Amino acid sequence: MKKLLFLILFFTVIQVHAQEPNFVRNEVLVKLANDVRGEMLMQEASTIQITGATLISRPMNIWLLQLDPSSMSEGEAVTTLYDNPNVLIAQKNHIVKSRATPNDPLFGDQWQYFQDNDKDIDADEAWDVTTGGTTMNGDVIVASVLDDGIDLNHEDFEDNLWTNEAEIPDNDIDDDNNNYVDDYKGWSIVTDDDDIAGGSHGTPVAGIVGAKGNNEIGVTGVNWDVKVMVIKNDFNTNEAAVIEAYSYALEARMLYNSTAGAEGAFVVSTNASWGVDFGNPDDAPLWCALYDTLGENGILSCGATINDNQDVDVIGDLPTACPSEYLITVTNTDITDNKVLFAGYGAETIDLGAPGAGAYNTALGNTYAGFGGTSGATPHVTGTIALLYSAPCQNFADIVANDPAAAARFVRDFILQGVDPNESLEGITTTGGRLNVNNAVQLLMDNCETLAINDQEANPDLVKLYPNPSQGLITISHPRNAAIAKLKLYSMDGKLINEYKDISNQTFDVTSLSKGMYVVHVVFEGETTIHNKVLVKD
Amino acid sequence: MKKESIFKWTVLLLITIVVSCKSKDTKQDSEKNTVIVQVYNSEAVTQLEKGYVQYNLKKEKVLSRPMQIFLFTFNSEKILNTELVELLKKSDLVKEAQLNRNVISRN
Repeated sequence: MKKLLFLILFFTVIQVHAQEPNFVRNEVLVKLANDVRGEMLMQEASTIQITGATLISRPMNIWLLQLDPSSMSEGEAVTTLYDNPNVLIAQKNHIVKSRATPNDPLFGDQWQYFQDNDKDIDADEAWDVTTGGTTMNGDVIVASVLDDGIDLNHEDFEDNLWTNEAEIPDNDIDDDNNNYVDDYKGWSIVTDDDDIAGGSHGTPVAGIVGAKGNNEIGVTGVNWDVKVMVIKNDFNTNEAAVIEAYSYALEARMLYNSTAGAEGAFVVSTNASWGVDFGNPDDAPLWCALYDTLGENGILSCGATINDNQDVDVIGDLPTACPSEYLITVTNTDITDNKVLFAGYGAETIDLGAPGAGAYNTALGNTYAGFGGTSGATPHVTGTIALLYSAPCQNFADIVANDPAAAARFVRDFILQGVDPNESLEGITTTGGRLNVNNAVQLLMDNCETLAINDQEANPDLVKLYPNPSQGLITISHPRNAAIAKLKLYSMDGKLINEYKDISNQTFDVTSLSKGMYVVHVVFEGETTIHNKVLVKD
Repeated sequence: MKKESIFKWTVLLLITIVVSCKSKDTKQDSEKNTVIVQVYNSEAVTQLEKGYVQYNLKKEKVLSRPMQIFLFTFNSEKILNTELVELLKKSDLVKEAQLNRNVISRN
């Protein structure tokens, strides 16, 4: 009798386990042919009852379809969808389990990412969402490290070091016409070429930003995948070299923006683990002004503050007292989650703390070691910026493309709003907290829907739509001597409804739209500013 | 005065000296014969060299093409860097000017 009960229990457990699906019920993913939208499948007469369609990846035209639970199973739906010529690929929406802990053997020494007592930056949780690499639109994310070079023979960078593929190395020709000859591996201000070897200081800094993660070697950076652009400068140095180094990153991003990604590099952050103790921003107007220019082109900068227990609000510091909204300033915390005694602070100037006292990472000589000071703290923030750009939020990726400065400000806000409150930083930093990578990522994801149309710049007088309200054809009028490059129509909750590609006659048709209010996104050629207009469909 | 008291006063004096030295004017920690200048247009570079020939002002290199920032050298025996910066700031050709201070790493 006992044996019989055991067998019944055993098979019941097996049966229950077997019934747990490894996919989300009533959902399927489809890749559609170009110019085919998910809503079109909903409208088609079909045996599948599709109740909703959400665009998941614009470049690949992948949609998440909601199925009526009573119509058919997910497997049957996939089979049926393949009969539709507009469906290129169909699959169930499989549940993805956490792979947050990388397999790098020295990950356990990287206390800054994970500690049992949670006195860490929660990088492991952020990696459940993204581990870096590219934006949703396919931009290859670049973080720029301005330092004393890098150990080019270090095993743990692999393909995470940026190279300029438009340049042929060592041929004495500026192949890509960017005014830098042979800038293949990066750029050295010291030698005016791409000899970026070195890096007693730069190797750990670069490793914190982007040592290759989950590669079964050494450690991981904040980003498992990223491109670290190394701009070498023999620190200790001078301000002229600082401006020159920043300008390389700036020019690369400006070129990227102006060519829609065809040239240049998608630099999103720069790291300065150096500075001038007691420096007064009034004496460095050009250096400080650079941060605004970098920011306006989509680059956030991070600055390490003084390694001394000094109030930067009072004593001054460069760059961390520079007033730019695109500069994030960082002080140093330790393994106990307290501000290091010999680290600067400032209720008005220093934004947040990050782990720097012995944060474990790559080191010169193909080795690994703890690295300290505000120099070690700051690249954790620089890396976090890059990681946020890879968040799986299409709306954010679209803002990045249309308004790089606004995207940078969003990222800054998510990082600063997402800090873990910390008593040792309270009242002496602008946020009162220590970096938390996961909180920043979650804030971006939580705001993903509303990022679509809100908080965008718009000049109400510049673009006019008429008639408005309308039932059909709408004309756009504007005083610009420029063609319209993009015109997108969004629902009020931020979902992209339509993209109009041919607007050469200054008109577009909304006949097929449902009644209601929409937001029209207008971008002129050669510009990044988005002009939003509200449109009412009668 | 007790020995212990003398020791305390000596330590206090040393700390004061150290802090005082660290808080020194950072203008002293700058390159003596170079200045950084932002101009309104690239033609201004030649005009500046001609206008300040008495100080042997010469363009050393471009620091930022997009921002039109240049490094200039000059004869520091004829004018102090601080004085030259103030002079350049008054020029209609110059958008901004500053010293070229030394920068240190932070670990």
